[in-house]
Amino acid sequence: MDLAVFGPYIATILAYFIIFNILTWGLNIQFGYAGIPNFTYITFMAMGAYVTGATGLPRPTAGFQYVQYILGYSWPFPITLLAGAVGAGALAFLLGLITLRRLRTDYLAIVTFSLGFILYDVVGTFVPLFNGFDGLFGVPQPLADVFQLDPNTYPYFFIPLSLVIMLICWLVANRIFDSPLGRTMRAIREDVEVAEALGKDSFRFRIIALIVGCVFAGVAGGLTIEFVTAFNPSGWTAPETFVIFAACLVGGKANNRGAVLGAFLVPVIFFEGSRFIPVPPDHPLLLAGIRYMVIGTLLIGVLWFRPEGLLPEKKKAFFEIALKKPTLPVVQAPDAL
Amino acid sequence: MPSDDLLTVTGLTQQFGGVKAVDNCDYVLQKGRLAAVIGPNGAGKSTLVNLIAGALPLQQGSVRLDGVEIGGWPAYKIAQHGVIRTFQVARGFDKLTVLENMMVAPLDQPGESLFNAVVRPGRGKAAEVKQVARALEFLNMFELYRLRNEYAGELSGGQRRLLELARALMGGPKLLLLDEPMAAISPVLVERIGQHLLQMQRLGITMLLVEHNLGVVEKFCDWVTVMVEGRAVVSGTMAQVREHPEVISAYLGREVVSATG
Repeated sequence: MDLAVFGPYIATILAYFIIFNILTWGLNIQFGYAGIPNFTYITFMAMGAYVTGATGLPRPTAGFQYVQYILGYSWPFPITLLAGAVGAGALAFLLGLITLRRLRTDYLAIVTFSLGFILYDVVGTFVPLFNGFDGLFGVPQPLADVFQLDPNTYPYFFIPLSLVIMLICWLVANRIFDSPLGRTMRAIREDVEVAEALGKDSFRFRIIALIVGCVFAGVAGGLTIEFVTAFNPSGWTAPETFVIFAACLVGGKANNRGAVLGAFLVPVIFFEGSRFIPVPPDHPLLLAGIRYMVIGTLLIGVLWFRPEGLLPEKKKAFFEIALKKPTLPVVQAPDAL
Repeated sequence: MPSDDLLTVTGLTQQFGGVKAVDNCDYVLQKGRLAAVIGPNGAGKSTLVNLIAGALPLQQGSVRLDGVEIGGWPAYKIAQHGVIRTFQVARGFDKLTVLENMMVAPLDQPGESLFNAVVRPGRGKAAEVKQVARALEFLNMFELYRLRNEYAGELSGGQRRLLELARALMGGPKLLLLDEPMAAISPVLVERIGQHLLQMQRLGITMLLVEHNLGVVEKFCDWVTVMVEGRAVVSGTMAQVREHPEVISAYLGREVVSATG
Protein backbone atom coordinates (compact mmCIF):
# COMPACT_ATOMS: atom_id res chain seq x y z
CA MET A 1 0.00 0.00 0.00
CA ASP A 2 1.23 3.38 -0.94
CA LEU A 3 0.96 5.83 1.92
CA ALA A 4 0.77 8.76 -0.46
CA VAL A 5 -2.43 7.28 -1.89
CA PHE A 6 -4.00 5.70 1.16
CA GLY A 7 -2.84 8.25 3.72
CA PRO A 8 -5.28 10.97 2.68
CA TYR A 9 -8.06 8.37 2.27
CA ILE A 10 -7.55 7.01 5.79
CA ALA A 11 -7.26 10.56 7.11
CA THR A 12 -10.53 11.50 5.45
CA ILE A 13 -12.30 8.51 6.95
CA LEU A 14 -10.87 9.40 10.32
CA ALA A 15 -12.17 12.95 9.98
CA TYR A 16 -15.63 11.62 9.14
CA PHE A 17 -15.46 9.24 12.09
CA ILE A 18 -14.74 12.19 14.40
CA ILE A 19 -17.62 14.17 12.90
CA PHE A 20 -19.96 11.19 13.20
CA ASN A 21 -19.00 10.75 16.85
CA ILE A 22 -20.10 14.30 17.60
CA LEU A 23 -23.30 13.78 15.60
CA THR A 24 -24.15 10.55 17.39
CA TRP A 25 -23.53 12.01 20.85
CA GLY A 26 -25.78 14.94 20.03
CA LEU A 27 -28.58 12.63 18.93
CA ASN A 28 -27.90 10.52 22.00
CA ILE A 29 -28.57 13.52 24.25
CA GLN A 30 -31.89 14.14 22.51
CA PHE A 31 -33.06 10.61 21.87
CA GLY A 32 -31.06 8.50 24.29
CA TYR A 33 -31.25 10.75 27.36
CA ALA A 34 -34.48 12.69 26.88
CA GLY A 35 -36.38 10.42 24.48
CA ILE A 36 -37.09 13.07 21.86
CA PRO A 37 -37.40 11.43 18.43
CA ASN A 38 -35.99 14.26 16.33
CA PHE A 39 -36.33 12.80 12.84
CA THR A 40 -34.91 15.88 11.23
CA TYR A 41 -31.68 15.88 13.19
CA ILE A 42 -29.62 16.18 10.00
CA THR A 43 -31.26 19.54 9.28
CA PHE A 44 -29.42 20.99 12.28
CA MET A 45 -26.15 19.65 10.99
CA ALA A 46 -26.96 21.43 7.72
CA MET A 47 -27.81 24.61 9.60
CA GLY A 48 -24.43 24.48 11.33
CA ALA A 49 -22.68 23.83 8.03
CA TYR A 50 -24.43 26.66 6.19
CA VAL A 51 -23.94 29.24 8.91
CA THR A 52 -20.29 28.24 9.40
CA GLY A 53 -19.69 28.36 5.66
CA ALA A 54 -21.59 31.57 4.98
CA THR A 55 -19.97 33.48 7.85
CA GLY A 56 -16.52 32.33 6.74
CA LEU A 57 -16.98 33.21 3.06
CA PRO A 58 -16.52 36.78 1.81
CA ARG A 59 -19.49 38.73 0.45
CA PRO A 60 -20.67 37.13 -2.78
CA THR A 61 -19.75 39.05 -5.92
CA ALA A 62 -21.56 38.86 -9.23
CA GLY A 63 -19.04 37.71 -11.75
CA PHE A 64 -17.58 34.62 -13.33
CA GLN A 65 -19.39 32.27 -10.93
CA TYR A 66 -22.58 33.86 -9.77
CA VAL A 67 -23.42 32.58 -6.34
CA GLN A 68 -25.83 33.99 -3.78
CA TYR A 69 -25.89 33.59 -0.05
CA ILE A 70 -26.64 35.62 3.05
CA LEU A 71 -24.09 36.66 5.69
CA GLY A 72 -20.63 36.56 4.01
CA TYR A 73 -18.62 38.08 6.83
CA SER A 74 -15.18 36.55 6.15
CA TRP A 75 -14.97 35.68 9.83
CA PRO A 76 -11.94 33.66 11.01
CA PHE A 77 -12.11 30.01 12.04
CA PRO A 78 -13.25 29.47 15.61
CA ILE A 79 -15.86 32.21 15.32
CA THR A 80 -17.44 30.67 12.22
CA LEU A 81 -17.81 27.33 13.96
CA LEU A 82 -19.35 28.99 17.00
CA ALA A 83 -21.75 30.86 14.73
CA GLY A 84 -22.76 27.56 13.17
CA ALA A 85 -23.38 26.06 16.61
CA VAL A 86 -25.44 29.07 17.66
CA GLY A 87 -27.43 28.93 14.41
CA ALA A 88 -28.28 25.27 14.93
CA GLY A 89 -29.17 25.93 18.57
CA ALA A 90 -31.44 28.82 17.62
CA LEU A 91 -33.27 26.69 15.06
CA ALA A 92 -33.63 23.98 17.70
CA PHE A 93 -35.15 26.51 20.09
CA LEU A 94 -37.76 27.42 17.46
CA LEU A 95 -38.52 23.76 16.76
CA GLY A 96 -38.86 23.15 20.49
CA LEU A 97 -41.26 26.04 20.93
CA ILE A 98 -43.47 24.64 18.19
CA THR A 99 -43.36 20.96 19.10
CA LEU A 100 -42.40 20.31 22.71
CA ARG A 101 -45.21 22.08 24.52
CA ARG A 102 -48.12 20.01 23.37
CA LEU A 103 -47.06 17.03 21.29
CA ARG A 104 -46.56 13.49 22.54
CA THR A 105 -43.67 11.43 21.28
CA ASP A 106 -45.24 9.84 18.21
CA TYR A 107 -46.69 13.10 16.91
CA LEU A 108 -43.42 14.84 17.68
CA ALA A 109 -41.66 12.38 15.38
CA ILE A 110 -44.09 13.11 12.54
CA VAL A 111 -43.85 16.88 12.97
CA THR A 112 -40.04 16.92 13.05
CA PHE A 113 -39.99 14.71 9.96
CA SER A 114 -42.27 17.06 8.01
CA LEU A 115 -40.46 20.19 9.18
CA GLY A 116 -37.25 18.66 7.86
CA PHE A 117 -38.78 18.28 4.40
CA ILE A 118 -40.12 21.83 4.46
CA LEU A 119 -36.74 23.28 5.39
CA TYR A 120 -35.03 21.10 2.79
CA ASP A 121 -37.28 22.48 0.04
CA VAL A 122 -36.94 26.05 1.27
CA VAL A 123 -33.14 25.94 1.33
CA GLY A 124 -33.01 24.08 -1.98
CA THR A 125 -35.31 26.36 -3.94
CA PHE A 126 -34.85 29.75 -2.30
CA VAL A 127 -31.52 30.52 -3.95
CA PRO A 128 -30.66 33.85 -2.23
CA LEU A 129 -30.43 32.04 1.13
CA PHE A 130 -27.62 29.49 0.65
CA ASN A 131 -27.34 29.26 -3.14
CA GLY A 132 -30.12 26.67 -3.53
CA PHE A 133 -29.33 23.17 -4.70
CA ASP A 134 -25.84 24.21 -5.83
CA GLY A 135 -24.93 25.01 -2.24
CA LEU A 136 -21.88 26.76 -0.86
CA PHE A 137 -18.35 26.05 -2.04
CA GLY A 138 -14.88 27.45 -1.69
CA VAL A 139 -15.27 27.73 2.07
CA PRO A 140 -11.86 28.53 3.61
CA GLN A 141 -10.36 25.68 5.61
CA PRO A 142 -9.60 26.56 9.23
CA LEU A 143 -6.15 28.14 9.62
CA ALA A 144 -5.01 26.74 6.26
CA ASP A 145 -3.83 30.19 5.21
CA VAL A 146 -2.14 30.84 8.55
CA PHE A 147 0.00 27.70 8.39
CA GLN A 148 0.12 27.64 4.58
CA LEU A 149 -1.21 24.09 4.26
CA ASP A 150 -2.01 22.57 0.88
CA PRO A 151 -5.07 20.35 0.32
CA ASN A 152 -2.98 17.16 0.45
CA THR A 153 -1.49 17.72 3.85
CA TYR A 154 -4.52 19.53 5.27
CA PRO A 155 -6.22 16.40 6.70
CA TYR A 156 -3.20 15.81 8.96
CA PHE A 157 -3.78 19.23 10.48
CA PHE A 158 -7.54 18.97 10.55
CA ILE A 159 -7.67 15.70 12.48
CA PRO A 160 -5.94 16.88 15.69
CA LEU A 161 -7.97 20.09 15.51
CA SER A 162 -11.30 18.28 15.25
CA LEU A 163 -10.13 15.77 17.85
CA VAL A 164 -9.85 18.58 20.40
CA ILE A 165 -13.38 19.72 19.55
CA MET A 166 -14.57 16.12 19.79
CA LEU A 167 -13.07 15.75 23.26
CA ILE A 168 -14.88 18.90 24.42
CA CYS A 169 -18.14 17.42 23.10
CA TRP A 170 -17.40 14.11 24.86
CA LEU A 171 -16.87 15.96 28.12
CA VAL A 172 -20.10 17.94 27.77
CA ALA A 173 -22.16 14.88 26.82
CA ASN A 174 -20.86 12.82 29.73
CA ARG A 175 -21.12 15.59 32.29
CA ILE A 176 -24.77 16.04 31.36
CA PHE A 177 -25.36 12.29 31.65
CA ASP A 178 -23.72 12.14 35.07
CA SER A 179 -25.52 15.19 36.46
CA PRO A 180 -28.97 15.55 38.04
CA LEU A 181 -29.89 17.26 34.76
CA GLY A 182 -29.24 14.07 32.81
CA ARG A 183 -31.04 12.02 35.44
CA THR A 184 -34.16 14.16 35.17
CA MET A 185 -33.98 13.95 31.36
CA ARG A 186 -33.93 10.16 31.59
CA ALA A 187 -36.80 10.24 34.08
CA ILE A 188 -38.85 12.32 31.62
CA ARG A 189 -37.97 9.82 28.89
CA GLU A 190 -39.32 7.00 31.08
CA ASP A 191 -42.58 8.66 32.14
CA VAL A 192 -43.42 12.31 31.52
CA GLU A 193 -46.53 12.37 33.68
CA VAL A 194 -44.79 10.96 36.73
CA ALA A 195 -41.94 13.43 36.29
CA GLU A 196 -44.42 16.30 36.08
CA ALA A 197 -46.23 15.00 39.14
CA LEU A 198 -42.90 15.37 40.95
CA GLY A 199 -42.61 19.01 39.90
CA LYS A 200 -40.38 18.65 36.85
CA ASP A 201 -41.09 21.10 34.04
CA SER A 202 -40.73 18.64 31.17
CA PHE A 203 -40.71 21.42 28.57
CA ARG A 204 -37.64 23.01 30.12
CA PHE A 205 -35.66 19.76 30.30
CA ARG A 206 -36.66 18.62 26.83
CA ILE A 207 -35.83 21.91 25.17
CA ILE A 208 -32.41 21.90 26.87
CA ALA A 209 -31.79 18.40 25.49
CA LEU A 210 -33.02 19.44 22.06
CA ILE A 211 -30.85 22.56 21.92
CA VAL A 212 -27.68 20.95 23.26
CA GLY A 213 -28.08 18.00 20.88
CA CYS A 214 -28.64 20.32 17.93
CA VAL A 215 -25.63 22.43 18.90
CA PHE A 216 -23.59 19.21 18.64
CA ALA A 217 -25.09 18.66 15.19
CA GLY A 218 -24.23 22.26 14.29
CA VAL A 219 -20.62 21.79 15.35
CA ALA A 220 -20.42 18.57 13.34
CA GLY A 221 -21.90 20.36 10.32
CA GLY A 222 -19.47 23.24 10.70
CA LEU A 223 -16.53 20.84 10.81
CA THR A 224 -17.88 19.07 7.73
CA ILE A 225 -18.10 22.19 5.58
CA GLU A 226 -14.71 23.40 6.74
CA PHE A 227 -13.13 20.06 5.93
CA VAL A 228 -14.67 19.46 2.51
CA THR A 229 -14.99 23.23 1.76
CA ALA A 230 -18.41 22.73 0.15
CA PHE A 231 -21.93 21.80 1.21
CA ASN A 232 -25.26 21.48 -0.59
CA PRO A 233 -28.66 19.84 0.04
CA SER A 234 -27.47 16.45 -1.24
CA GLY A 235 -25.46 16.28 2.00
CA TRP A 236 -28.50 16.34 4.24
CA THR A 237 -31.25 14.26 2.73
CA ALA A 238 -33.64 12.54 5.12
CA PRO A 239 -31.86 9.13 4.98
CA GLU A 240 -28.79 10.72 6.57
CA THR A 241 -30.76 11.09 9.80
CA PHE A 242 -31.52 7.39 9.53
CA VAL A 243 -27.78 6.59 9.43
CA ILE A 244 -27.20 8.53 12.67
CA PHE A 245 -30.21 6.93 14.35
CA ALA A 246 -28.85 3.56 13.27
CA ALA A 247 -25.45 4.42 14.78
CA CYS A 248 -27.15 5.47 18.01
CA LEU A 249 -29.35 2.36 18.25
CA VAL A 250 -26.68 -0.13 17.19
CA GLY A 251 -24.15 1.28 19.62
CA GLY A 252 -26.58 1.60 22.51
CA LYS A 253 -29.03 4.33 23.46
CA ALA A 254 -27.91 6.66 26.26
CA ASN A 255 -24.39 5.24 26.25
CA ASN A 256 -21.76 7.53 24.76
CA ARG A 257 -19.18 4.75 24.42
CA GLY A 258 -21.82 2.81 22.54
CA ALA A 259 -22.31 5.85 20.33
CA VAL A 260 -18.61 5.73 19.42
CA LEU A 261 -18.95 2.05 18.55
CA GLY A 262 -22.10 2.81 16.56
CA ALA A 263 -20.44 5.69 14.73
CA PHE A 264 -17.58 3.38 13.88
CA LEU A 265 -19.73 0.44 12.78
CA VAL A 266 -22.50 2.15 10.86
CA PRO A 267 -21.05 5.10 8.92
CA VAL A 268 -17.43 3.90 8.78
CA ILE A 269 -17.39 0.12 8.44
CA PHE A 270 -20.77 -0.50 6.83
CA PHE A 271 -21.12 2.71 4.85
CA GLU A 272 -17.51 3.11 3.73
CA GLY A 273 -16.87 -0.62 3.70
CA SER A 274 -19.67 -1.18 1.22
CA ARG A 275 -17.59 0.92 -1.21
CA PHE A 276 -15.45 -2.18 -1.71
CA ILE A 277 -18.34 -4.43 -2.68
CA PRO A 278 -17.83 -5.26 -6.37
CA VAL A 279 -20.64 -3.60 -8.30
CA PRO A 280 -21.11 -3.96 -12.07
CA PRO A 281 -19.96 -0.69 -13.64
CA ASP A 282 -23.19 -0.29 -15.62
CA HIS A 283 -25.25 -0.06 -12.40
CA PRO A 284 -23.87 3.05 -10.69
CA LEU A 285 -26.86 3.46 -8.36
CA LEU A 286 -26.65 -0.09 -7.03
CA LEU A 287 -24.02 0.82 -4.44
CA ALA A 288 -26.20 3.43 -2.71
CA GLY A 289 -29.05 0.91 -2.55
CA ILE A 290 -26.81 -1.80 -1.14
CA ARG A 291 -25.54 0.57 1.55
CA TYR A 292 -28.96 1.24 2.98
CA MET A 293 -29.89 -2.42 2.73
CA VAL A 294 -26.76 -3.38 4.65
CA ILE A 295 -27.36 -0.77 7.35
CA GLY A 296 -31.04 -1.72 7.56
CA THR A 297 -30.12 -5.38 7.99
CA LEU A 298 -27.57 -4.51 10.66
CA LEU A 299 -30.16 -2.43 12.49
CA ILE A 300 -32.78 -5.18 12.37
CA GLY A 301 -30.21 -7.71 13.54
CA VAL A 302 -29.13 -5.62 16.50
CA LEU A 303 -32.69 -4.72 17.50
CA TRP A 304 -33.66 -8.37 17.26
CA PHE A 305 -30.77 -9.93 19.16
CA ARG A 306 -29.62 -7.01 21.33
CA PRO A 307 -32.53 -4.56 21.58
CA GLU A 308 -30.57 -2.41 24.04
CA GLY A 309 -27.72 -1.99 21.56
CA LEU A 310 -24.23 -3.46 21.62
CA LEU A 311 -23.28 -1.38 24.68
CA PRO A 312 -26.51 -0.84 26.66
CA GLU A 313 -27.23 2.11 28.91
CA LYS A 314 -25.10 1.81 32.03
CA LYS A 315 -26.83 1.25 35.32
CA LYS A 316 -25.86 4.05 37.63
CA ALA A 317 -24.98 2.56 40.96
CA PHE A 318 -24.64 5.49 43.30
CA PHE A 319 -21.61 6.33 45.31
CA GLU A 320 -22.36 4.67 48.60
CA ILE A 321 -23.06 6.68 51.66
CA ALA A 322 -23.07 4.70 54.86
CA LEU A 323 -26.55 4.66 56.28
CA LYS A 324 -26.19 6.42 59.58
CA LYS A 325 -28.59 5.83 62.42
CA PRO A 326 -31.99 6.20 60.78
CA THR A 327 -33.75 9.21 62.24
CA LEU A 328 -37.07 7.92 60.98
CA PRO A 329 -38.60 4.88 62.61
CA VAL A 330 -38.56 1.67 60.62
CA VAL A 331 -41.90 -0.04 60.37
CA GLN A 332 -41.74 -3.61 61.56
CA ALA A 333 -43.72 -5.69 59.15
CA PRO A 334 -43.34 -9.09 57.52
CA ASP A 335 -40.94 -8.97 54.60
CA ALA A 336 -43.27 -10.91 52.34
CA LEU A 337 -44.13 -9.02 49.20
CA MET B 1 -56.22 17.63 66.63
CA PRO B 2 -56.04 19.21 63.15
CA SER B 3 -57.16 22.81 63.04
CA ASP B 4 -56.72 24.90 59.90
CA ASP B 5 -57.68 24.11 56.32
CA LEU B 6 -54.99 23.04 53.88
CA LEU B 7 -57.09 22.39 50.82
CA THR B 8 -60.27 24.16 49.83
CA VAL B 9 -62.13 23.14 46.71
CA THR B 10 -65.18 25.16 45.68
CA GLY B 11 -67.61 24.83 42.80
CA LEU B 12 -65.45 22.36 40.90
CA THR B 13 -67.09 21.12 37.71
CA GLN B 14 -65.65 18.88 35.03
CA GLN B 15 -67.55 17.82 31.97
CA PHE B 16 -66.50 15.02 29.62
CA GLY B 17 -68.74 15.54 26.61
CA GLY B 18 -72.24 15.51 28.05
CA VAL B 19 -71.26 13.76 31.28
CA LYS B 20 -70.52 15.79 34.36
CA ALA B 21 -67.87 13.70 36.12
CA VAL B 22 -67.52 16.31 38.85
CA ASP B 23 -70.51 18.56 39.38
CA ASN B 24 -70.20 21.71 41.46
CA CYS B 25 -68.16 19.91 44.08
CA ASP B 26 -67.09 21.57 47.34
CA TYR B 27 -64.46 19.96 49.52
CA VAL B 28 -62.37 21.08 52.48
CA LEU B 29 -59.40 19.20 53.93
CA GLN B 30 -57.74 20.15 57.19
CA LYS B 31 -54.01 19.96 57.85
CA GLY B 32 -52.70 16.71 59.21
CA ARG B 33 -55.61 14.54 58.11
CA LEU B 34 -55.36 11.10 56.61
CA ALA B 35 -58.52 11.51 54.63
CA ALA B 36 -60.36 9.33 52.16
CA VAL B 37 -62.81 9.94 49.37
CA ILE B 38 -65.12 7.01 48.80
CA GLY B 39 -68.05 6.46 46.53
CA PRO B 40 -69.43 4.15 43.86
CA ASN B 41 -67.73 3.75 40.49
CA GLY B 42 -68.13 6.81 38.32
CA ALA B 43 -68.74 9.11 41.27
CA GLY B 44 -65.88 11.35 40.12
CA LYS B 45 -63.29 10.52 42.80
CA SER B 46 -60.36 10.07 40.45
CA THR B 47 -61.42 13.08 38.41
CA LEU B 48 -61.40 15.14 41.60
CA VAL B 49 -57.83 14.03 42.33
CA ASN B 50 -56.78 14.71 38.74
CA LEU B 51 -58.24 18.20 38.92
CA ILE B 52 -56.53 19.04 42.20
CA ALA B 53 -53.21 17.74 40.82
CA GLY B 54 -53.60 19.65 37.57
CA ALA B 55 -53.56 16.53 35.41
CA LEU B 56 -56.77 17.79 33.77
CA PRO B 57 -57.28 21.39 32.68
CA LEU B 58 -59.62 23.15 35.09
CA GLN B 59 -62.97 23.98 33.52
CA GLN B 60 -64.78 25.65 36.38
CA GLY B 61 -64.28 26.20 40.07
CA SER B 62 -61.46 26.96 42.43
CA VAL B 63 -58.74 24.95 44.17
CA ARG B 64 -56.84 26.64 46.98
CA LEU B 65 -53.88 25.25 48.85
CA ASP B 66 -52.88 27.14 52.00
CA GLY B 67 -54.83 30.12 50.71
CA VAL B 68 -53.12 30.16 47.31
CA GLU B 69 -55.25 29.54 44.24
CA ILE B 70 -53.61 26.64 42.39
CA GLY B 71 -56.57 25.79 40.14
CA GLY B 72 -55.57 25.88 36.49
CA TRP B 73 -51.82 25.69 37.12
CA PRO B 74 -49.83 23.14 35.12
CA ALA B 75 -49.24 19.86 36.95
CA TYR B 76 -45.53 20.45 37.56
CA LYS B 77 -46.17 23.83 39.18
CA ILE B 78 -48.79 22.37 41.48
CA ALA B 79 -46.29 19.68 42.44
CA GLN B 80 -43.63 22.32 43.10
CA HIS B 81 -46.16 24.02 45.35
CA GLY B 82 -46.37 20.89 47.48
CA VAL B 83 -49.13 18.70 46.04
CA ILE B 84 -47.70 15.35 44.99
CA ARG B 85 -49.84 12.59 43.57
CA THR B 86 -49.51 8.90 42.89
CA PHE B 87 -51.28 6.92 40.20
CA GLN B 88 -53.88 4.15 40.17
CA VAL B 89 -51.35 1.79 38.66
CA ALA B 90 -48.00 2.32 40.40
CA ARG B 91 -45.72 4.06 37.94
CA GLY B 92 -42.04 4.85 37.98
CA PHE B 93 -38.94 5.43 35.93
CA ASP B 94 -38.28 1.84 34.90
CA LYS B 95 -34.77 2.25 33.52
CA LEU B 96 -33.56 4.25 36.48
CA THR B 97 -32.44 2.52 39.65
CA VAL B 98 -34.56 2.67 42.79
CA LEU B 99 -32.20 5.23 44.32
CA GLU B 100 -32.20 7.30 41.12
CA ASN B 101 -36.00 7.24 41.18
CA MET B 102 -35.80 8.75 44.64
CA MET B 103 -33.21 11.30 43.56
CA VAL B 104 -35.36 12.69 40.76
CA ALA B 105 -37.94 13.92 43.24
CA PRO B 106 -36.23 16.71 45.23
CA LEU B 107 -37.13 20.20 44.03
CA ASP B 108 -34.62 22.95 43.21
CA GLN B 109 -31.63 20.73 42.50
CA PRO B 110 -28.63 22.91 41.62
CA GLY B 111 -27.29 20.14 39.37
CA GLU B 112 -30.37 20.40 37.15
CA SER B 113 -29.12 23.63 35.56
CA LEU B 114 -27.23 23.14 32.32
CA PHE B 115 -24.49 25.57 33.35
CA ASN B 116 -23.84 23.77 36.63
CA ALA B 117 -23.99 20.35 34.99
CA VAL B 118 -21.43 21.20 32.31
CA VAL B 119 -19.19 23.90 33.74
CA ARG B 120 -19.14 23.27 37.49
CA PRO B 121 -20.38 19.78 38.30
CA GLY B 122 -19.06 20.22 41.84
CA ARG B 123 -21.78 22.76 42.57
CA GLY B 124 -24.50 20.13 42.73
CA LYS B 125 -22.45 17.59 44.70
CA ALA B 126 -23.10 18.90 48.22
CA ALA B 127 -26.85 19.04 47.68
CA GLU B 128 -26.66 15.62 46.07
CA VAL B 129 -24.89 14.05 49.06
CA LYS B 130 -27.51 15.45 51.42
CA GLN B 131 -30.35 14.13 49.26
CA VAL B 132 -28.78 10.68 48.88
CA ALA B 133 -28.64 10.39 52.67
CA ARG B 134 -32.31 11.36 52.87
CA ALA B 135 -33.22 8.97 50.07
CA LEU B 136 -31.45 6.07 51.76
CA GLU B 137 -33.28 6.82 55.01
CA PHE B 138 -36.63 6.77 53.29
CA LEU B 139 -35.70 3.58 51.42
CA ASN B 140 -34.77 2.04 54.74
CA MET B 141 -38.10 3.14 56.17
CA PHE B 142 -39.94 1.41 53.33
CA GLU B 143 -37.61 -1.60 53.42
CA LEU B 144 -36.35 -0.99 49.91
CA TYR B 145 -32.78 -0.27 50.99
CA ARG B 146 -31.34 -3.52 49.70
CA LEU B 147 -32.96 -2.91 46.31
CA ARG B 148 -31.50 0.62 45.93
CA ASN B 149 -29.32 -0.24 42.93
CA GLU B 150 -31.89 -2.37 41.11
CA TYR B 151 -33.84 -0.99 38.17
CA ALA B 152 -37.27 0.20 39.24
CA GLY B 153 -38.69 -1.79 36.33
CA GLU B 154 -37.52 -4.99 38.02
CA LEU B 155 -39.52 -4.46 41.21
CA SER B 156 -42.67 -6.40 42.07
CA GLY B 157 -46.03 -4.65 42.04
CA GLY B 158 -46.00 -4.20 45.81
CA GLN B 159 -42.45 -2.88 45.87
CA ARG B 160 -43.43 -0.36 43.19
CA ARG B 161 -46.19 0.91 45.45
CA LEU B 162 -43.73 1.37 48.28
CA LEU B 163 -41.23 3.09 45.99
CA GLU B 164 -43.96 5.42 44.79
CA LEU B 165 -44.72 6.44 48.37
CA ALA B 166 -41.06 6.82 49.29
CA ARG B 167 -40.40 8.88 46.18
CA ALA B 168 -43.37 11.12 46.91
CA LEU B 169 -41.88 11.82 50.36
CA MET B 170 -38.60 12.93 48.74
CA GLY B 171 -40.40 15.89 47.21
CA GLY B 172 -41.38 17.17 50.66
CA PRO B 173 -45.12 17.34 49.99
CA LYS B 174 -47.66 19.36 51.96
CA LEU B 175 -50.44 17.28 50.50
CA LEU B 176 -50.19 13.78 49.13
CA LEU B 177 -52.90 12.62 46.72
CA LEU B 178 -53.05 8.84 46.63
CA ASP B 179 -55.18 7.35 43.85
CA GLU B 180 -56.15 3.90 45.14
CA PRO B 181 -52.87 3.04 46.87
CA MET B 182 -54.25 -0.33 47.96
CA ALA B 183 -55.49 -1.47 44.56
CA ALA B 184 -54.37 -4.91 43.39
CA ILE B 185 -52.06 -5.77 46.28
CA SER B 186 -52.06 -8.57 48.83
CA PRO B 187 -53.85 -8.18 52.19
CA VAL B 188 -50.49 -8.36 54.01
CA LEU B 189 -49.15 -5.45 52.01
CA VAL B 190 -52.42 -3.52 52.44
CA GLU B 191 -51.84 -3.66 56.19
CA ARG B 192 -48.23 -2.62 55.76
CA ILE B 193 -49.00 0.31 53.48
CA GLY B 194 -51.67 1.38 55.95
CA GLN B 195 -49.04 1.44 58.70
CA HIS B 196 -46.78 3.48 56.41
CA LEU B 197 -49.57 5.97 55.84
CA LEU B 198 -50.09 6.38 59.58
CA GLN B 199 -46.34 6.85 59.96
CA MET B 200 -46.34 9.51 57.24
CA GLN B 201 -49.23 11.22 58.98
CA ARG B 202 -47.09 11.37 62.12
CA LEU B 203 -44.39 13.04 60.00
CA GLY B 204 -46.90 15.83 59.39
CA ILE B 205 -48.03 15.02 55.88
CA THR B 206 -51.65 15.56 54.95
CA MET B 207 -53.01 12.82 52.74
CA LEU B 208 -56.07 12.33 50.58
CA LEU B 209 -56.85 8.81 49.42
CA VAL B 210 -59.23 7.61 46.80
CA GLU B 211 -60.17 4.16 48.02
CA HIS B 212 -62.66 1.40 47.31
CA ASN B 213 -61.82 -0.84 50.23
CA LEU B 214 -64.05 0.44 53.05
CA GLY B 215 -62.34 -1.76 55.62
CA VAL B 216 -59.07 0.00 54.88
CA VAL B 217 -60.71 3.40 55.09
CA GLU B 218 -62.33 2.58 58.42
CA LYS B 219 -59.10 1.27 59.87
CA PHE B 220 -56.65 3.99 58.81
CA CYS B 221 -58.47 7.16 57.81
CA ASP B 222 -59.69 9.79 60.26
CA TRP B 223 -61.85 11.72 57.82
CA VAL B 224 -64.10 10.28 55.16
CA THR B 225 -65.96 12.01 52.37
CA VAL B 226 -68.55 10.30 50.22
CA MET B 227 -68.89 11.34 46.60
CA VAL B 228 -72.03 10.56 44.67
CA GLU B 229 -72.66 11.68 41.10
CA GLY B 230 -69.82 14.19 41.08
CA ARG B 231 -70.62 15.82 44.39
CA ALA B 232 -69.23 15.44 47.89
CA VAL B 233 -72.41 14.61 49.79
CA VAL B 234 -71.20 14.00 53.29
CA SER B 235 -68.00 14.15 55.34
CA GLY B 236 -67.09 12.93 58.79
CA THR B 237 -65.62 9.91 60.53
CA MET B 238 -66.45 6.55 59.04
CA ALA B 239 -68.93 5.87 61.84
CA GLN B 240 -70.76 9.14 61.18
CA VAL B 241 -70.72 8.71 57.42
CA ARG B 242 -72.01 5.16 57.63
CA GLU B 243 -75.26 6.26 59.24
CA HIS B 244 -76.04 8.80 56.54
CA PRO B 245 -79.01 7.73 54.36
CA GLU B 246 -77.50 9.06 51.12
CA VAL B 247 -74.47 6.86 51.68
CA ILE B 248 -76.50 3.78 52.29
CA SER B 249 -78.58 4.41 49.21
CA ALA B 250 -75.53 5.12 47.09
CA TYR B 251 -73.86 1.88 48.13
CA LEU B 252 -76.83 -0.43 48.59
CA GLY B 253 -79.51 1.02 46.34
CA ARG B 254 -82.65 2.96 47.15
CA GLU B 255 -84.91 -0.07 47.73
CA VAL B 256 -82.91 -1.10 50.76
CA VAL B 257 -83.23 2.36 52.23
CA SER B 258 -86.95 2.47 51.74
CA ALA B 259 -87.31 -1.07 53.08
CA THR B 260 -85.26 -0.39 56.21
CA GLY B 261 -86.24 3.24 56.62
